[in-house]
Amino acid sequence: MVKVLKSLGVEVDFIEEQTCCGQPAFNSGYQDDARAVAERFLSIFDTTLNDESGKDAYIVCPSGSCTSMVKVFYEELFKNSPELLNKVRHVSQKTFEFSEFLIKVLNTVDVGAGYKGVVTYHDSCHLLRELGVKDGPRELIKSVKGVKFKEMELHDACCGFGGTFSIKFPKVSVSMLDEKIECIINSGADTLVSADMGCLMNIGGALSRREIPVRVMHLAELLASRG
Amino acid sequence: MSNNSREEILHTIRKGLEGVGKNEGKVLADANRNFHSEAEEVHKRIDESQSALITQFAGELKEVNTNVIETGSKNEIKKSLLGLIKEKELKSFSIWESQFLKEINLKQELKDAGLKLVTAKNKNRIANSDIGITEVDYAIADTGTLVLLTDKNQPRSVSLLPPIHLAIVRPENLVRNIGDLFVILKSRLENIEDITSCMTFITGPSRTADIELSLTLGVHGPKELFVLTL
Amino acid sequence: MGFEEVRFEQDSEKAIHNKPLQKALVNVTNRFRTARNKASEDVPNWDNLRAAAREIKKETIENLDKYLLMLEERVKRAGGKVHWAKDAEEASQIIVNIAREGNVKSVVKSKSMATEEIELNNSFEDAGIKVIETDLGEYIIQLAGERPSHIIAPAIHKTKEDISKLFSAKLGIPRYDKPEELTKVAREILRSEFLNADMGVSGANFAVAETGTIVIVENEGNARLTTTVPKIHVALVGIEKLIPRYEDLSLFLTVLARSATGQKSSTYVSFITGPKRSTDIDGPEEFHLVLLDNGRSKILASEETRESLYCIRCGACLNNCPVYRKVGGHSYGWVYSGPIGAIITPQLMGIDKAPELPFASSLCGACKDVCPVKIDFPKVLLELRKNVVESKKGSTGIGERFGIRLWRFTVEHESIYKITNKLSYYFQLPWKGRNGKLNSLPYPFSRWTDQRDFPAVAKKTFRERWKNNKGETG
Repeated sequence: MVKVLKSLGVEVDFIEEQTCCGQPAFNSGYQDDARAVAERFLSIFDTTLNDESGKDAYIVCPSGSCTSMVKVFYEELFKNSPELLNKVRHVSQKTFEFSEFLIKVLNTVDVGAGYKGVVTYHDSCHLLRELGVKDGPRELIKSVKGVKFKEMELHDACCGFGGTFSIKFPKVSVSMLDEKIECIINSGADTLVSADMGCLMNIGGALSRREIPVRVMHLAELLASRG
Repeated sequence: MSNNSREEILHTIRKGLEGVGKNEGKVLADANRNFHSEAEEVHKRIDESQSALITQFAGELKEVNTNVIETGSKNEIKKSLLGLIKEKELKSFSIWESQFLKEINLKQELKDAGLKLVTAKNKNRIANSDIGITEVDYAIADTGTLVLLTDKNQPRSVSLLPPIHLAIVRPENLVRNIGDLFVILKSRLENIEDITSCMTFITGPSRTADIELSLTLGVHGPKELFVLTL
Repeated sequence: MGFEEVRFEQDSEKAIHNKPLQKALVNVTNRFRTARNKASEDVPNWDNLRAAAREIKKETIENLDKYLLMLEERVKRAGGKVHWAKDAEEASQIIVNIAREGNVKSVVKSKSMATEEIELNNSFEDAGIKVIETDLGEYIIQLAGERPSHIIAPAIHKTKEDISKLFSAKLGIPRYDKPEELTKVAREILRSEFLNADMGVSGANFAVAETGTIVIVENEGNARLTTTVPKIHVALVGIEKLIPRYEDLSLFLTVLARSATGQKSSTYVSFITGPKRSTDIDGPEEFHLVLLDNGRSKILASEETRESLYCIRCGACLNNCPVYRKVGGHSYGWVYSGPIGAIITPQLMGIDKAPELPFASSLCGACKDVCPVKIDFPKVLLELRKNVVESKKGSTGIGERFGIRLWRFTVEHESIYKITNKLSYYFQLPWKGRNGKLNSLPYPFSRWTDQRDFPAVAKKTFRERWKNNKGETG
C-alpha cells in the first residue's frame, strides 16, 4: 500500500503509537474493552490530524473491516459520550479505505501496475455493505495491465471469517468457506484479490491447506505489482 | 385473568416506551388524507389507460396459471360457459347474486342447461359441487389479482370450495395497482361498521411448493381458475 | 419437543453433515433469493418502499399501547371478542377454553408461527381435542412430530421419499412418490377434516388498528378454509403485528409477497373483520382475537433492539444468510430461525437460554440488505452480544474474558505490542509447517488450524521495515 501511494506522489507517514481500532472486542460483545482501545486510537489520530503538519492528512487503511469500525461503528460505540463524538466525526471524515482513497481522493483508477493472470474479486462484507464499496476495487483491478478479470458466482457472499465467529463455530465457518472456494475454482481464476486481511487469511488458509493453486493477494499487493 | 393480563401488557408497553412518548397525537396522523379527491384522481387515471390495463391484466393472469376467456357480449359469456360445461362435464354449480349476474340471468341459463344449483348455506353440498361463479368487485391489473367482497349476495365459499372457480371481470372494475385499490376502498368506507366481514384477494389457483419446492396446483382451494373478461 | 436450551454449535454440525439437508438448503435459499432479487428489482423505488415500511412499523411500535386499544375496540364493534395473553401458557389456556365452551371436538389450523411458539397443539391434545395442521408443509411436520425449519417452507428439510414413507406409515396408504400424488392425498384427507372441524385457528400477517381487520397471506387456500368453514374462528396474533391504517396494507402486502417468495402477490390474501354478519350466508359465527405478548412488550424497553419487533416474517433474511444456508432452521433451536431467529429467540426466551445465538452470525449484513423493514441486524446482534458478555453466560467463558483482557493490555501499550509481534515470530516456530505456514496450533486456535493454515508472522515486522526504509518494501 505504501509503495502504491508513494508512486502516486502521496507523502506517507506511519504513526508508531497506533495498534488496533478495537473491533475484535467490539464484535465479541466486550464493548467496554473496545471503547478503551478505540479511545486510544481516536486520541492518537485526532492529535495528529490537529497538528500543523497533519491538517491536510488522511488516514488510509488497507482493510474494509477496520475502516468500517471507525467510520460506522465508532458512532454506535460512543453514542453515550457526546464529548468524544466530535473526535469520532473528525477522525472518521478523514479515514478512507485504500481503494476508496485512490478513487475518491486521488481520482485514480490506473496506478500503472502490471500483473499476468486471471483475477477474481471477493467482496469483503464490511467494505461492501457498511461502506458501500463495490465497483471501485473492480475498476482498479481491471486497470492493471495483463489482468483478465473474471467475476465469480456468489462474489458477495461471506467467506465465513467473521472474526471470532471463525473460532467459535469453526465447522460452520469452514462450510461457508467451502462454498466460497468452490466459486473461486469455478471462476477459473488463478488469483483471488480482496481488500480485507481477515477474508484473505481465511480463504488463503484453506487454499494452502488444500494445496489449491490459486494465489491470494491483497488489492494493494496487486496494484504494487509491476509484472 | 385475561383482564389482568390486558393491564399488565399495556403497563409494560407504556413503561418500555417511556422517553419515546413524543408521539402524542401522531396516532393515525395521515388519516386526514382526502380519499375522496384522491379516488377521483385515481378513477381519472384508470379511465385514461383502460384498454392497456385489460391487456396487462390478461398477461398477468396467464403468468399465474389462470385461464383467460375474452368475451365481447353477454351472449358470448353464455356461449363460453356452455362450452366449459361440456368440456369439463359440469353437473352442479353455485353462483353469486350480484347486480350484473342477475341482469344477465346467468343462474337461469345454467339451470336450463341442466346444471343443479347448490347454495353456499350447505358446506358439504357446495364442497361437492363442480363450479363456483363470481363477479369480482375489483381486479388489480399489475398483479392479476381478483378482489372479492363478501356480503349477503356474495358468500365466501363459492370461490373456495368447488374445484373450479370462474370469475367474471368487467372493465370498469379494473384498477391499476394495489395502491389504487386501497384509495378507492378507503374513500368508500364512510363508516367502519360498513366494512365487509371478509375481503379476499385471489391471484391464480391454489398452489403449494412444500414438497421439494415442486409447484403443485390445487392443494386446498380451486385447482382451476377461469377469468372471463368482457 | 418443549424448548429447553439452544445448542447451536452441536446442532449446526449435525446439519452440516446431513447431505440431503444441505442439498435442500441450497435449493430453497437459491430459489427464494433469486425470486426476491428479481421481484425487488422490478419495483423502481424498492428502497423507498422499504424505508416507508420501516417508518410505519416504527410509528406502530412506538405507539403500540394506543394502537392495541384501537384494534380491540374495532374488533369488538365488528362483533368479535378480544383476549389478551401475557405468555404462552395463558394463550393456550384461553384458546382451549374457547374450544371447550363451544363444545369443540376437532380443530383445523392454518400456518402460524405464533401457535408454534406457544405449542398450541400440545395443549389441545392434552385437553383431548383433535388438532390438524392444514398447510401442507406443516401437516408433514405434524405427522413427523418435528418443528418447521423455514418460515415459508416449513418441511423443506424433508425429501419426497421421506414424505412418501411418512404418509404411508402414518396414514396407512400405499407409497406415492410424486409430489402431485402426495399433495392430492393430503387434499382429500384435509378437505374432510375442514368440513368436520368445529373450530379454525389461524395466525395473522397483519392486524389493522383502524378497522379491526386481520390479514392472512397464503398460497394454498387452507387459511381461507380455516377461517370460513368451521363455526368458530380464533386468530392468535403477536402484539407486534399491528399496522395503523387500512391503506398501509398496500405497501406491506407489496413488500411482503416480493420479499418472501418473489411473487407479485401471494395467491390468497384474506382480510377478516369480525365474524360473519347476520345477513352473510357463510363464514364463522364467532370470531376471537387472542393478542399474544410472550416477551414482546419487554423487548420494547430496549431502544437498541426494539426494531426486532418490526419484523413481518417474510423469511428473506434466512434465504440471504450464508450461515442459515449451511446450518438450516433446526440449529437455531426454536421456532424462529436464521438472522431473525438469532435476534428474536434470545430476546423472547431470555438471553441465558440462547447465549450462542447472537454470535451465530459472521455479521456480514446480507440480512439487513434485504429486510423489507430494514432491521439493522448487525447492530442488534452486537447489542445482544454485549448483553451476553455482561450477563457472563455461554461461550464467553473465563478463557475468552482473559484473552480479551490480554489483548487489551497488549494493544494499549505500544511497547508491549511491538515485543509481542516480535516474540510471536519465535513462538510460532514449533508449529510452522512445510509450506511455511502454521498448520496446527493449540486450543483454542486449533479451531482455526484444524482445517485452515494460519499465516506465519514475518521475522521483520512492518514497524521494523518502516524504520529501516520508510516503507520501500510496501
